Amino acid sequence: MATLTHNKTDLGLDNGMKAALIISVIVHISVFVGSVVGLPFIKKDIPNIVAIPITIEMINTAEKTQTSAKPKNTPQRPKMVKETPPDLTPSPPDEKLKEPEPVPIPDPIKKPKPPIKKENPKEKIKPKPKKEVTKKEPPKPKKDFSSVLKNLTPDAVDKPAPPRMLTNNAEEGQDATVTLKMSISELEAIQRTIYPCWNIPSGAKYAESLQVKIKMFMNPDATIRDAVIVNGAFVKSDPAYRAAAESALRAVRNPRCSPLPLPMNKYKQWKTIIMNFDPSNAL
Amino acid sequence: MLKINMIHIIKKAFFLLFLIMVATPASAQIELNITKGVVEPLRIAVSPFYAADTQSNNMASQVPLILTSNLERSGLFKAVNPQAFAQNPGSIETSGVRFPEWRATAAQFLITGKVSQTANGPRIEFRLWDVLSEKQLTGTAFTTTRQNWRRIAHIISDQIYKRITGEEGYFDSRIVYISETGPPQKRIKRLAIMDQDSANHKYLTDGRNLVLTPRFSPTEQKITYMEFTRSGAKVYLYNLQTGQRENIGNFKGISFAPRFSPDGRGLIMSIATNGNTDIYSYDIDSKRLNKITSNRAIDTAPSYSPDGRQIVFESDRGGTQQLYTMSSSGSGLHRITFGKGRYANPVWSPRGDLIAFTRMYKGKFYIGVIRPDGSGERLITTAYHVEGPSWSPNGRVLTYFKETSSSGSKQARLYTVDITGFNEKWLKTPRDGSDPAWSPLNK
Repeated sequence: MATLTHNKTDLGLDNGMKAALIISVIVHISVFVGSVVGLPFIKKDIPNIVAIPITIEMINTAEKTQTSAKPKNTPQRPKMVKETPPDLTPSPPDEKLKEPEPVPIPDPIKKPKPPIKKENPKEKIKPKPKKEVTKKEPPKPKKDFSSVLKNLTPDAVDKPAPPRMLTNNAEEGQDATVTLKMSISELEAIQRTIYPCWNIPSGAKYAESLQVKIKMFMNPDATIRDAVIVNGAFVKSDPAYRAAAESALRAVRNPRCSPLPLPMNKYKQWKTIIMNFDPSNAL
Repeated sequence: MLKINMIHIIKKAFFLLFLIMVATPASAQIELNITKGVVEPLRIAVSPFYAADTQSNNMASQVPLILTSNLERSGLFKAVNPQAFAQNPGSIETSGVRFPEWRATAAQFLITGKVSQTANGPRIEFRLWDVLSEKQLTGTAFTTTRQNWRRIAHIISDQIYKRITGEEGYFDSRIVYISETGPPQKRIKRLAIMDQDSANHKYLTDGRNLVLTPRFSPTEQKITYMEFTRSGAKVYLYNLQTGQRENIGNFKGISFAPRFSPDGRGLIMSIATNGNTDIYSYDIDSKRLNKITSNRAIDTAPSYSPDGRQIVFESDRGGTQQLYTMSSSGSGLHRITFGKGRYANPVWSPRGDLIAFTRMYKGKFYIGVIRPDGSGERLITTAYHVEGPSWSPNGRVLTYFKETSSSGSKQARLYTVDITGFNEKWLKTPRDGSDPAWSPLNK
C-alpha cells in the first residue's frame, strides 16, 4: 500500500503551507503597521498626551521672554554687486481710446514694441538712497480691540468687537508623527510678526467679508520661497477680492516681516504655512 | 531548499514593512489666523516721466506731480521722497527698472512713464509696477490734444487707483459748488465749477441772484440748482457743455434743488403746500409731477439709491427728524435712524452700500454714514456747522462744507474726507465755498 510521502507537523501543516502562513502573517502585520503610521485618521484615535499648554491667555508683548515680535534681521542695504536683472519683458501697454471732454480723441495708434531691456554691466551703480531706507520701524497699529474705522458717535449703537481670542490652537497641525510641535508662543510670534505688515483694505465695499487664504512655502532659513492664494478663483472675477488678496500677499512677502521667527529645528512643521487673513474683527 | 526560500521571503517581507514605515511622510501644516493689521497708506514711488523730446519736458515732470497729488490726497497712498529714488527716467528707459534698488526705497509700487509728441498731440504712457514681485501690473498709453493733458493725468490716477484698490477711481471728475464772498448780511453767491483737485476753476453765474444747492446729473454734464429771482425761486437745469440753462419749473414751495434719478431722466424733490411738505418725482421729458408721500409730517430731502429702486429721505413723522427708506413708489417704509438729535440731508452712495447724512446734536453738527438697513452708523466729522455731504463717483470720499463765524465775519470752506473717517482735507477754492456737488466720472 502506498503511503503519503509528505511530512506533517503537529499542527497538521506541511512545509509549503507553513511558509505561506508565515508570509501571510508578516504581510498582515506590515499592512496594519503601515496604516497606523501612515493614515492620519486612524492615528487620531490614539490621543497625543504630550503636554501642550492649552490655557489661552492674552499675553502682552512685554511679558514675553522668548520670541520677539521684531523681525530678526534689520533691513539690509542692497549688496554692492553688479547683477544682471531678469529679462524685462513687460507686456506692451494697451493703447486706449479715451474721449476727454469736450474734444473727441483721435484714432488709435499702433501698439509700441515691448521693450526688452538688459542691464549694461558697465553702468555705475547709483549712490544708495538715504533716509527713507532706515525708517523701517513697523508703525504703531491702531487700537487693538476696536474698529479701525473712525466713529465719533456719542452713543455708538455698534459697540467695538470684544478682543478676539487666539483662534489658532495647538491642535492644528498635530497629525505629525514627529514629536517636535510648534508651541503656542511660537505660533503667536508668527502672527505678531505679520500684523504690522498687513495693510488692510479698509474702505472697500463689504471689506469685512473679504477673507483671503494664503499658502506659504518656506525656506529652511524662515524666509518665504513662494506664496499662493488658496481660494484664488475669486481673484479674476472680483477686483475688490483681488485687492484684498494682493494685500495679503504683500504682507507675507514684505521684507520688513521676513524672516519669520520660526524655530529652525522644527522646519518640518512649518515648511508650509496657511494664513487666513480675516478683517472682520478689525473693521 | 524550502528553508532558504522561506528565509528569503521573510527578509523581503520585513524589508517591505520597513519601507512602509519610513516612507509615509509626517503630514504637518500650520494654519494661522491673521485678524489684525494696520490701516496705513501704501507706499508708492512716482518717478518723473521720461521726455522723448524737449517739447515733452513740461508734461513729463507735471503729470507725475498730479498723480502724486491725487493719490496722496486720497489718503490711501504715501509717495516716497524723490530724493531717495534709485534711477532716473533715462536709466529706466534704457535699462529697465532695477527692482532691488527701488525696493530699498521701501516703495511697494513704482510708477514710470514716458511722454512724446505725435502728429495728433502729446502721447503719455505710464506703467505701474509691483516692486516686491517685480511685475508690471498695468500700463496704458494715451494720446490727446494739448489742452487736455491734465485730464490724462487724472485718468492715469484712476487706473492706478483701480488696479491697486480694486475700486473705481474718482480723480477724473469735477465739483460744482456755491462760491461765497462778502459780509454775512450781504453775501454774494455764485455758481462755480472746478476739477476735483481745484484746478480749472470757472464761475457759472454772475452773483446777481442768490443761488443754492447745485446737483450733478449722474449721466450727463448737466446740473440743477435753485436761483432766487424777483419772481420767486426757480429751478434751473444747466448744460455745462453748451452753457445753456432752462427753467424747469417754478415749483412753489421748494426749498432746495431737486436731485436726479440714477438714469438722469427724472428728478426727485420735496414741495411744501399748505404747510405740509411731501416728496414728488418729476419726469424731465414729459414734465409730469408725481406725488410719492402724503403724510401730515414734513417729508423732505429725498435721494435715490443707485439702482433707482429706493429712496432715502428725512421725515419727522416719528416725532423727531429721522431718516427713512421706501421704495421709489412710496411703499415699504422703513425707519433707519433712531439716535438722539436730528438727522437731515441723506444722500445715497453711488456704491450703494452707505447713506451719508448730516446730524445735529447738542448744538453740534456732524457728517455721518450709515448702512441702508440702519446698522453701522458712524459719525466721521464734526464742526460748529457742517453739512451738505456729496459723494465722489466711487463712493469712497465725501465732500461737504464747514462754516465758522467769528466777530461778525463768516467763513465757509469745502472739505473732503474718506469714508473710513480719516484724511479730512481742505478742498481749495479761490473764495469761500458751500454746497459742493461731485460730478460722476467725466466721459
